[in-house]
Amino acid sequence: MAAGDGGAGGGWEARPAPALGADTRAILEELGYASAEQIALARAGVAL
Amino acid sequence: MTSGVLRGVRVVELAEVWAGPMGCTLLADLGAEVVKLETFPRASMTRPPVADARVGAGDGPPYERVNVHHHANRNKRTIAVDVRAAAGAEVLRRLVARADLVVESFSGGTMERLGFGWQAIHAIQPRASLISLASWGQDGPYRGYRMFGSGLDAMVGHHLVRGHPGAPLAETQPAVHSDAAVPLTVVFAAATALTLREESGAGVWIDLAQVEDLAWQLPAILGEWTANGRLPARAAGGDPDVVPHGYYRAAGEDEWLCVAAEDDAQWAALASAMGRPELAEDGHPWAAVVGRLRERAACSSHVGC
Repeated sequence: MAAGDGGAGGGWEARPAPALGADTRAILEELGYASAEQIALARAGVAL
Repeated sequence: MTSGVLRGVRVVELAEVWAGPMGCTLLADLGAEVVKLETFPRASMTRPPVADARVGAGDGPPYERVNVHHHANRNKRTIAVDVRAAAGAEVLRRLVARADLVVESFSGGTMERLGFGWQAIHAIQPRASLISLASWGQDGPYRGYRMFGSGLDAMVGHHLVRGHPGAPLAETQPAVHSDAAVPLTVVFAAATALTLREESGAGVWIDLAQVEDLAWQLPAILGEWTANGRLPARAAGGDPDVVPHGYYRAAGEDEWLCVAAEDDAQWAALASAMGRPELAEDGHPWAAVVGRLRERAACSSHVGC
């Protein structure tokens, strides 16, 4: 089975645990936060 | 081994240490998109800010080098936000708004205090389900108590039935029953919630008290207590209905055998293997299980070195 094919009965995708806050910016972007808003959250100590 | 059966399912995780995170990792293994909302600036219990005994060798900050954290958090994405701040709470609100499942492992009442109790979750996203893993659940006299795996094992009774009679009670860190059982139940709860939503179109709140997930592991003990008022003695390696049954010292240094003769045929085979076939011959008191049970200590002593 090929790793990561994800189909029924398929392989097993194993991505390591992300570093603390590794996806914060990307997820904030998905949630509709503009770049300036993301920076403001970080500067305010609300997001890492 | 795994599949994409949960592909398209969005999960928001607010959980620490093992049971909740590992449950969400299993959902991720099954294809769900899991976003782990990590506490910030307070450090997660598995993200120590300074090196301690749990931190492995290597480069990088200590909070990235704890094996428990890595094992329990694969296949996720993470966002670090202080949800106690208003702006952080808004981030969580937006995450919930697009979620199918929210999994949290706070003590009972914490989500309400954060402004994200079930009513709030349901108002934000009616199709989302909330799976709550508070150790003592959402009501009852111990609501709000904080307890982790070894404490749950003790409260349920695992410590009372392990070990040798008369020996001090001992916890079994780091092997914890609740941490083994609850992640699998999270998957069951998620499947239940998603199935119910197929029928009703609405999410549900599942109060998955970890202590209840453990209690049913001890049916014979609970039955003996509730029906007969008796607490069975600790059996060490024994079995109340099987003799011999236990761990026996072997000839080598610190080498042991686990031996169980579950019926008369197995006892006959064991006796033969020990070079004492007469112990299982007709007429010998140990030939039948009743006799072996009656003379448990004497029979057991014939096994091992």
